[in-house]
Amino acid sequence: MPVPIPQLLPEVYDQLRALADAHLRHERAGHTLQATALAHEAYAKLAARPGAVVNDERHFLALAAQAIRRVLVDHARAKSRAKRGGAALREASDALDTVAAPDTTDVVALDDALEALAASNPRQAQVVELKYFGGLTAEQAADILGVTSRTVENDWAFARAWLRDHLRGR
Amino acid sequence: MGTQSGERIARLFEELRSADAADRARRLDALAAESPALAERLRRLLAAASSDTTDFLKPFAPGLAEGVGDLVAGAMQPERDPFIGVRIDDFVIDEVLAAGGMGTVYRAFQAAPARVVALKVMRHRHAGREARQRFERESKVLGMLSHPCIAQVYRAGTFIDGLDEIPYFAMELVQGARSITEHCRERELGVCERLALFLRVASAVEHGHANGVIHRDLKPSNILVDESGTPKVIDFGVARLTGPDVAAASVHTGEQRIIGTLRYMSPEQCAGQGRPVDARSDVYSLGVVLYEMLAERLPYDVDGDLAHEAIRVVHEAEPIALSSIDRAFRGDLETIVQTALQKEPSRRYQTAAGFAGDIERYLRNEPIVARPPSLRYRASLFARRHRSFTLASLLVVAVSVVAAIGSVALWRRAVDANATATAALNEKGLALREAERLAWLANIHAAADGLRDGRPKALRHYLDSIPPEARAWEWSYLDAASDHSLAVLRGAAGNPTLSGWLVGPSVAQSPDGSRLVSTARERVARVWDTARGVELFTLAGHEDLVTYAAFSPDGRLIVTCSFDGTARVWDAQNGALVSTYAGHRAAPTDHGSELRDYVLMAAFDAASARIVTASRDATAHVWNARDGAPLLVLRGHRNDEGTLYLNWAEFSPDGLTIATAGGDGDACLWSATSGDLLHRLRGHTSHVNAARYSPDGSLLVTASADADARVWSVADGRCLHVLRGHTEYLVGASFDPTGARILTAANEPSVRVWDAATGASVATCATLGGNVLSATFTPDGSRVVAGDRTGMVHLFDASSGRALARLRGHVDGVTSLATAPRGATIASASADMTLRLWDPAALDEGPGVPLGDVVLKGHREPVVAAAFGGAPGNEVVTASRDGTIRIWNRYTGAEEARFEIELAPVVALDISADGRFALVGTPRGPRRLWDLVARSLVHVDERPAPALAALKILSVDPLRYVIVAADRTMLLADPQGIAPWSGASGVGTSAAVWDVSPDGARAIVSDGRAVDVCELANGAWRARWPTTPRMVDAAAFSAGGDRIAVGYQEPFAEIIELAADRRTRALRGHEKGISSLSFDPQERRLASASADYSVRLWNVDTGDEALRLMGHADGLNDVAFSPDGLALVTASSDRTARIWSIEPYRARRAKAATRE
Repeated sequence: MPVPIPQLLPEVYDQLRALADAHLRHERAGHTLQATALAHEAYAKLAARPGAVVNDERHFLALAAQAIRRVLVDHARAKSRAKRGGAALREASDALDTVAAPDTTDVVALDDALEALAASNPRQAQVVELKYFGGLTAEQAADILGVTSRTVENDWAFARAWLRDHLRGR
Repeated sequence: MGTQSGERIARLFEELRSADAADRARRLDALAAESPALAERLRRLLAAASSDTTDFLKPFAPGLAEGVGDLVAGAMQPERDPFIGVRIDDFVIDEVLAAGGMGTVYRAFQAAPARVVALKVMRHRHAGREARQRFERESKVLGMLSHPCIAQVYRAGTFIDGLDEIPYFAMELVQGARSITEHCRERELGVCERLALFLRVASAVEHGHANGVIHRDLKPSNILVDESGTPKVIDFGVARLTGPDVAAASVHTGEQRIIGTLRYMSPEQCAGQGRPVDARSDVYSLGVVLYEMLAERLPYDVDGDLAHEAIRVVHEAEPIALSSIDRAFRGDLETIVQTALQKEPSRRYQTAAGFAGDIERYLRNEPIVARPPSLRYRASLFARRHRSFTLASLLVVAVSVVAAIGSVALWRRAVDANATATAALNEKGLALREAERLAWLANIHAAADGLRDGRPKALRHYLDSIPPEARAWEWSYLDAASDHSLAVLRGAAGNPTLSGWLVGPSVAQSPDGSRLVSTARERVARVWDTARGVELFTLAGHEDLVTYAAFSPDGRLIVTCSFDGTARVWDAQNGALVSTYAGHRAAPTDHGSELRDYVLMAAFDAASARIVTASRDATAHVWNARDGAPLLVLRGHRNDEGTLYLNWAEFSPDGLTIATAGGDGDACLWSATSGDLLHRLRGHTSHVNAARYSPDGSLLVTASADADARVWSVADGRCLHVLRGHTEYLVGASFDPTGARILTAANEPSVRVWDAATGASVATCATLGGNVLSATFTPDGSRVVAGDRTGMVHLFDASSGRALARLRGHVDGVTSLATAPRGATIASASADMTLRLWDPAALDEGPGVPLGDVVLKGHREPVVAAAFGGAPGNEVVTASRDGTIRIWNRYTGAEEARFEIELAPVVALDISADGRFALVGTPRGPRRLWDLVARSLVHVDERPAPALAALKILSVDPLRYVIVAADRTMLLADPQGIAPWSGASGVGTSAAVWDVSPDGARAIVSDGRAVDVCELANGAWRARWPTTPRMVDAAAFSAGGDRIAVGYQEPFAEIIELAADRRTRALRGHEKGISSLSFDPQERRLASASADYSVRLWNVDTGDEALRLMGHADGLNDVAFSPDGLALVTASSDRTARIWSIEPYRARRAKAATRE
């Protein structure tokens, strides 16, 4: 059953990479995230969505934010796995250091917490995904979610409190 | 906690947060009375909110996703460009030459001086004054560059568009431009011409460097050749002006663009931050370009989908030697290119002029300046690469628990090997050989791991990494195991770099299976002859990517759909255009302008007369296939924001109704005559990807992104069943040819089969790994075919879901599968840009020709011996303790004949050199000679002899043979009698013979203390190579008879060179004793069978283990290469024998068919 499977172009990847490169270099010089790897992986995640018809730019923004989240979380998980794996595996974790969390936030814990939040407050959880991982503004998030930006601000405040409480309680 | 209470907490939180302290406390108290837990929860949240800091959840890359969105919006509408006709300074923009995400290149007219220019408008905006100043400063420098081979930058400026200040460049327009590599290929330039052309490019780059401008993005698509043959470097310094090192994709050439910049970037550029980029980075990129100009390929195998791998390769891999591609490049030219491609900038030519100078010297036959890299340097580079290899294998460990043991063992081995390599550095000459040897070892083991772990891409990559001269039996075995397809169709198919949204490659078969039509991210569809595997013609005419193609039911027509908003009908016989339908273009789009009128798919009616097309404009159109005349527009799917498209449309089998599936979550049934909406099928909660009629037209199945499929009654639109079980979005669904079953595929590692009448689950077919991208029933409905993301094609039994065959061949996702009602093969299209054909009757383990190793099952006791013999090239013979000799078909594993000996175990079997006769012995009974071809008993030798352990035929007519007795003595049997063999030396009584040389003149003999080769005629024998304390258990001559291998009761074997009188290789690795040895006919590999259940293949030159063959469930008793070297046979105590072949499935299948 042939179903069209839209895929992103390698070329879009190039630009995604360039973009991430520019952003990371300018916004947060010196941190350990390697832009090349991030963009490439995010692209791969996006391209790896068979049947996922991307409706429009808004939809794409949501997908891009989701992809960035997955990349960061996957790498963070792989890294912590490697750290638990004894001397041999620790060597491997050095390689992954080039793709580490963007700041001191524990991405894995955050991801788990977001999953928990999504169970009760799916929209609020998505606001975090869009704003934190996607780097989108409240207005953009509002546009994507079809709510007012005021609602997004409220969601954001709630989600932050919720996540802080959840992460502290662990 | 459900979302309802979650929403309530969020609402209360918001109310309390905005309330003043007193009000908040009062309300919390009131809440506590109602629900203490709720009040406590809110208190905690409010406390958390008050301790919030700005750093918590601070976005790390503001605008990242947004920027991507901009790019995509740009990519989606290159033609409807807002700048057409616009005046920017004194340029008037005429038309788009090419569009990329970072910018668009236009043809523009300048008034004074009057000329046509290429105007590049960057999508990137200026952020801040500093950036603008830098842009202005540096663009002035660009204007000063003046060189015949640099496309002149006339002006770099900015213009105001709304609130944005947008940079642009006006450049010399290169007429008739093509990339330099394309030019070399098309003009078929000779090596000297290519070098001369390259010298002009190097001089242009040097000119830039002299003016302080580094290009930073040199690649073939930035080095164009105009109509007159002059090379023109474009986009000089543009990369730097626009910020990131990856410049806007340069877009003059359109076709044949290289995927990414990564492949031409120097290691220091790939590294990103921190490492300075200077003129030597351009030297590196020029080196890659020259390499590609000469070799017509890139110096590395960079895998486009694996970022870490690609970067690692650029950092660590040595370029594939030019001389290995063409011997003509040996020597200085290779040294020159190698020097430019050094990882360390300081080891490269320091300037483009220096690079050019050596090329000139080469052309003048003068000595060049560059020196071949020293052994020490190459070895240290190897060590670096090797370290990285161990790292790579460790990463595999991290993700694959199953792989842990093997990979860690390999890692240890690699670490040891690495130490050896370092130690060997002091011995000149040895280091390089050692490095090459270790690289081979690492690659072949990684390839074997790739096969074992089901990673076809890795398997292919590591196999391709092994140079042709290092490929032997194990390489061919893994290569054959990696390809189960009947045919691979590659042509010019696939251009992965055109702009726009893309669909995966697709394939469809004509009804009789004689032809295929394929689409692969390009503007044409291609038609292929299935039987011959060749491309017949292309269907060219669409102005944008072709997304879909299908044959009409009568096989005479093909319909194609394109992003250009049209569908076209072609004559399937000759490719002539029959009709074009552009109705979707004209249809007004109700929604925002960014949505395009793409035609996504099309379907014929049963009479091949009408076509229905589904479009992004949310309508389906019905039109006449022959003349494109519009018949109906089906408008009615809801236009919810962002869901405005139609995924599927098809006619009912009787042609009276049409079903459509939409992004609005509905499917609709329409009258195909009036266009009236008959039923709106509601129930799905997300977009519907497919709506398919049952063969009798009474039912419809819909597949949705909500993870459900639904079955509907066509007559009244009622939902009859919800097929629930998938957890991910569905990519499709279909009925089997009888209409009894439904197949559903979702984005998860399984497909499901359902009973159409009851909606009950019939079977779940698991891919054991990759998510499914495509699936279909075989034409008889008995099997399900599924293609997954890793490239595997799976065949399942449709009733039980049992996996029948896992077909390897593709190295990337299988995006489309097609069968034909009367066709003999399954066709697949993959993101690896190949089409493959498969055998729908294939089975992993037979009956018939199995995909994998042939397992010979039937013996009731351990199999003690196995050999190729019987019908020439076609059969193998086995002997078992169950008292039978059996003859098997080498390709199918079918038992062809059986000789019952007596109620005694067969302990000895030897096959004559021509494979025709078998001499068989039991411990105490007579020896029998069988004619394997005639299947008859030729001779019974009933003369008394001691209890025997082995037999060796010396000649058949007259019958002369050696008896190795159980007490390790030896006798010679000939028509005159049986006598103890004793040589002139008289030692013979306690010696045993292990193998007889191919010419029958010599034997390998051992007496428990030493081993020797002696002449059978005179028995001259001495204790030449001591073996104590080990006990010999196996020995074999090589085909040429000039080396032998000896295996011991301990897990150890060795190779002895007879002429040199030296024990050359110690073979360690088995975990138990060696039972049998066999050299391949080319004598490059030695196979050893062991009680540890494995066969190992050893590199005769180095003594390294090349491959381990696992599969038997008990110890092995015998191993033998076939005389043609194409296969190995093994005999095991697990009561089976196995054939391990290096012939791919298609070759074995063909041979089995011709010999039946």
